Amino acid sequence: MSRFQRIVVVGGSLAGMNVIQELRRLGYLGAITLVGEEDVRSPYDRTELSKKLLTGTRDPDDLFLLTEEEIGELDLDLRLGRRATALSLDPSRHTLTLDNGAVLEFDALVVATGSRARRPAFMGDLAGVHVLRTLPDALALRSELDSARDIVVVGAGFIGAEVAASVRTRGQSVTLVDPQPTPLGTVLGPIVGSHFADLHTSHGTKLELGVGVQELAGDGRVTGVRLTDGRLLPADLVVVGVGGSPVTEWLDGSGVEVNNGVLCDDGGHTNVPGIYAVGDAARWYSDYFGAQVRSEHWNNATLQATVVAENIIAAEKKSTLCAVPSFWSDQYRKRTQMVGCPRPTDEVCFVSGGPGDERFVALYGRDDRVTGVVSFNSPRGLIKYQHLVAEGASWSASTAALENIISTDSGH
Amino acid sequence: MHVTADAGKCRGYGSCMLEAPEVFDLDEDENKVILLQENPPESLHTKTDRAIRSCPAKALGTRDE
Repeated sequence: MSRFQRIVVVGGSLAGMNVIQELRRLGYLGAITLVGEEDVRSPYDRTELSKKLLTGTRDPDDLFLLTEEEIGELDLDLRLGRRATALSLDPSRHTLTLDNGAVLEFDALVVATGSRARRPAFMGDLAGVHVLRTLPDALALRSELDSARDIVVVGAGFIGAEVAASVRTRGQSVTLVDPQPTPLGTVLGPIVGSHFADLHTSHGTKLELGVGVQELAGDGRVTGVRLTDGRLLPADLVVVGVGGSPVTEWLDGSGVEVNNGVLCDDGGHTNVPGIYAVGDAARWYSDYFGAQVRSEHWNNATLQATVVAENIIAAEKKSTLCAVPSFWSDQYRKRTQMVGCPRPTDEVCFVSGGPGDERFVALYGRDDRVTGVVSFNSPRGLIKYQHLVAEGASWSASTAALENIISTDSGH
Repeated sequence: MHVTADAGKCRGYGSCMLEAPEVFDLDEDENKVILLQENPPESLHTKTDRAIRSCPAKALGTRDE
């Protein structure tokens, strides 16, 4: 049984709550305090905020991951609507201070504070300008969408692309703006990115690519988006989706090492014994990458939670994560899934279907290694090839029988 | 171990198939989970457990025999 008697988990979303569930599942009977900034009755499925919650086919009640009964059974000291403000690691007494002045003593602490939406300086404080991270963010956006006419989404990464697709699915006019030449280009590269440009265009989403945002126009409320080429797009509602940054400032001065996320080994241990980190706020060493990486995806959060719970319980034995990253995205009722972490400059080879098709599976590779698999509407295709990524299989051998390799350098 | 799959809850992520392809498959047209074996052997229990817990839709579980 764990040597820890008092465990504090800071952050009550997917990663934090999964650590707690795993601790109880493994038989931990000691005290667990959960500090959660969002005052919600259960962690919720954040991935649907940009999708079915926005289109209106799901309501908040559908997104909660646990019932009140299931949370009750976890026997927690719940501190919801509370934010951690300081961590003190005096060798004789480890304490966490909350924003209401409460001081919690603990033997082990799990950092699961997640990330927050980046807010670029151009956002200012005009009404009608949104980010999307939390349930209240999504509900505020959904309610303003009902009366909006000209919607501009800034950022064509996964969140921005999903929001644009959801707005179109609602039948409204939307323009997607990004300095990259294709949507999702920084992850998927120009070849598969072009497929998504066509997908959005064919559904009536207007694209403004290769151009950035200079400033927002408006007086009190936003009226337009000024692009870096000087044009003004009319807009009465703007959604900015330009990534997230880890919530770790409450650890400043504590001695816990932070650098774009809490630095951890491949078992979730920070540099301080008894302090662990999981999810978006954590940057774990990955054997696969040979580096510390921060991953803002569901699968990562749940896998890390399992490993950390095992390490807290075991005390001696060290469980590690050796999973290849994976995630999914839904746009226009089409599901895109990816395993691995290719670079946008990698070679691409379609092993079934191709750009513009109803389904496809694409391999990514560089330096004669398969680096990723991306599937469009083809989860079984993804599964069929994902082992190539885990094994770091030879690119030339894996693609030898195929003729449809497209070199990213030659364009598309 | 007796595995259960609720096709009504399944949203076709395929996470289970990624973790334990011996136990779970996916009908691509319906986008629904297919249970290949309800009673996986001991050697697959760890993988199956991971697969069940990886499901974003919480459509999988076990029940006592």
